[in-house]
Amino acid sequence: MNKSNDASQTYLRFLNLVNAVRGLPSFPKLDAVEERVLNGLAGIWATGAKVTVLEATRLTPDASPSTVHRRLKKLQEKGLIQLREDESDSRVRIICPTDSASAWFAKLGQCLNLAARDG
Amino acid sequence: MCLYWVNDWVFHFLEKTQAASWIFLPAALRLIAVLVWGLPGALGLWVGGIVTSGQVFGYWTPAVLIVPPMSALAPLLAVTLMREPLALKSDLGGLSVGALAQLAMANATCSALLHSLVFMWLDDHRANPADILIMMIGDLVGTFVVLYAIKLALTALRR
Repeated sequence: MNKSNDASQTYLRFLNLVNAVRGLPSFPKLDAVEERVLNGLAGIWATGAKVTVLEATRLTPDASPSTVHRRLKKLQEKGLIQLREDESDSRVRIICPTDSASAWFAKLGQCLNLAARDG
Repeated sequence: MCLYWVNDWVFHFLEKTQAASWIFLPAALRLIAVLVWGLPGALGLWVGGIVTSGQVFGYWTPAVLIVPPMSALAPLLAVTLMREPLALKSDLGGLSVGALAQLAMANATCSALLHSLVFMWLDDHRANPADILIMMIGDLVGTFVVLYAIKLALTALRR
């Protein structure tokens, strides 16, 4: 009984360690739709305008609103966007960029600069 | 053994002395072994250390008797010292990335200090105080290289 308890403790420790390793920070990978949605959102953020979840689902005409909605959830899980309640209407959810999103665009900008310099 | 071989093969150019390298992969294994298996893990490191130390320092040298217990003691000491400040549970439940990074740091510090003390005590030519920092950085970088390799493998396995 003691031995099996020890073994289950060891396995639990292993699982918890694996979970911690999975959480190590890394640069998020985006699929094509996620990238288009994020680019669309960036275009609106650059103008200083607010963008709601409903508006975001219409950003990419070649993807259905439900597809975009799923991708918004993925982008939120990857820490690139966050949802906030609109100050004027608590039913409306506003999409805001995170620091990771800013870092993502900065990295892309650096890549473009590098390509332009080397080109 | 495998990590020693990989470390020697890939990062041999980053080795400053036999005992100090800018990247030391086995440091991760030591920390993981003690985190998962506790004291039996440390004893395993001790036994394994005799084989690897023999290859590094020569089998019939005092270092083979003294270095392996230090290699086993360092992660055990780091985990024991950090258990309370990090509120580490016995099953590692809720272990965060931050806590793991602090454990890696503590392990690197304990390992570098203990090994340097041993080399000084042995009056060994490897007992250069400047190498303490290199050992610490090597252990820390090595730990993160292995942890990120595990993370990449886990991500690949999920697909």
